[in-house]
Amino acid sequence: MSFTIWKRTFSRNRLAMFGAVIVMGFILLAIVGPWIAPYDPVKPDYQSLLMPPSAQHLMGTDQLGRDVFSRVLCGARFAFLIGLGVVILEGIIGVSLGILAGYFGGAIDNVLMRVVDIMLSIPAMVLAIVIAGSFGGGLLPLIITMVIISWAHFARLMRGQALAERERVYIEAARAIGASHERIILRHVLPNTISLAIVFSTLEIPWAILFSASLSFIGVGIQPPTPEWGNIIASGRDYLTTAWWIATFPGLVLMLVVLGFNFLGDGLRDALDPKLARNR
Amino acid sequence: MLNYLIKRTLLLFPVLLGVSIVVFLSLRLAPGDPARQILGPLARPEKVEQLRKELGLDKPIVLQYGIWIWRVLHGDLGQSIANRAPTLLLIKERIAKTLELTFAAFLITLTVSFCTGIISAVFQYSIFDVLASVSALFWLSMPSFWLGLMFILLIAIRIPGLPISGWGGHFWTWEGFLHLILPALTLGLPQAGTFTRIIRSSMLETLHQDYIMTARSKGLAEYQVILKHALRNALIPVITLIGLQLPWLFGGSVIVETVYSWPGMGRLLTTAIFERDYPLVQSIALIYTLIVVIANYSVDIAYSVVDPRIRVD
Repeated sequence: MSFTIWKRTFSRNRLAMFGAVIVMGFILLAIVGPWIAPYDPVKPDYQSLLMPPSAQHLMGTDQLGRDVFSRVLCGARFAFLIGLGVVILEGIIGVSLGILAGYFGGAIDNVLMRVVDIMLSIPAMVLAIVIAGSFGGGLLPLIITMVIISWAHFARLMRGQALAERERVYIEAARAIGASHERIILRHVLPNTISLAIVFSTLEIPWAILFSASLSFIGVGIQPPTPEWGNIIASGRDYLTTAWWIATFPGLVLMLVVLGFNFLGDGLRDALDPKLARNR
Repeated sequence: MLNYLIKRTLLLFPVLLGVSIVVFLSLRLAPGDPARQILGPLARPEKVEQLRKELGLDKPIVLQYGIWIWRVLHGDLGQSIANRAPTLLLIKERIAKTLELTFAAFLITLTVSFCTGIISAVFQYSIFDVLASVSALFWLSMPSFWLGLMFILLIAIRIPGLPISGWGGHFWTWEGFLHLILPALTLGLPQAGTFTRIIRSSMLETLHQDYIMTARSKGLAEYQVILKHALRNALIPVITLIGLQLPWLFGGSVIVETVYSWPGMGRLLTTAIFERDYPLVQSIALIYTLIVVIANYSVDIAYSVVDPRIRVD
């Protein structure tokens, strides 16, 4: 499909454009958030404890007098770093393992797919709480944990793609003229299957953001006082009846960002795969 | 059929072996000595050494796994450090409550998604369909822990008599039912978003098949065409999805139990991990995984009953 048609399908889908706007706004906030935050996100201010939303404090202040709006702005950077970092790492591991398994088949494929089955049959949240909890929290352990539980998503997807690609006639032709496996994988299989991995990423990033926020909410992810959406919401839990704004606003922003990615991912999938689009 | 049953049952063993290895290793990924982590940095070295012996940490890791799995197979899941009680006993008290919550949530998921998915597909591109599709995305983007807090804030606090948290008795008692509603909705509704989308697209696909036209042209009532001919075939991808979503359902229950202080296994897991009660953590993770593996096995068997084609592969 040519790029112009692709673009037309994409922009016709208003929800996808709406999603794209949210995602771009989110990325912008992740970059400039800490600079435009009106207050220090970490330093307590005992003069203004639990103040409701006002012109000075758009989202109110928390139990230590910190501006919730500033904390949410700074939290965007963590959400973005985790979402992108996790998906890039799990993508590299999952895509390479998946393609190797699908392309070579046989024993490699068998072993890898059994491991994938095993990883996918363990409740990811339980496994993540155990691993992240035993590390004791922090950004790097959180990312490692999430890569461990999620590489199988990409591996399964790409294995199926590589399996189908391997049967194509041009691969046989490439083999016939003496191309090495390495060359075929890097020059033919990977470029022909990677677009699906990219579309899948736009649906995997919101998952990673949501999942990491859940872990931080439980208390095994990013630890307070570092402003991260999940742990801001957790801190607002104890003040739900007296200061509803602490938990409400970060969650609203989190939901909006995840929704934006999902709208965008849906639109991208429709645009790239007209077969799927017909039914939706 | 029997062949498939045997094959699927035999396949359970490598999976069980695999998950037990992953569960065992998951606590050993963090650097440092578990005994030292349990006792804290101030504990005397003799104490740490004693605990190492007690937990068998002084042996090579393969042997440790062997001893652990041997005991598990004999029904001994170890002693909880914080509670000084067999972990299996602690889990036994909690497991029914977790199952109660997940079943109720799953019932909500299926009811909501089947109703919306089928109506959406039958009236494709109607206002209902458009609204349902957008709200499905909206629900599946919802952070469940935040949704739980919003339910408490917007519903539980406003309605007198509706409990904010905890377990109020078995679900068939009025008190128990009232306690169950909000946690089950919190866990069930976001999942319903995913299911609605699959049911809708699967229904649309079957509704465009030739045999549906045949059914219509031979004069069957529309409800018969939809419920008997289309729905039964549309169920197949839904059953696959159930198998895929089960781990998420149980994982999600850990979060919801934390939000509502629901005294189930998930709550036990989060307290155990903060108390560094590693034998208990390991046992809970294993039980969760066993539940999911067995549930998946049952789903596969059900799958082969619904779709005879599966048995052939």
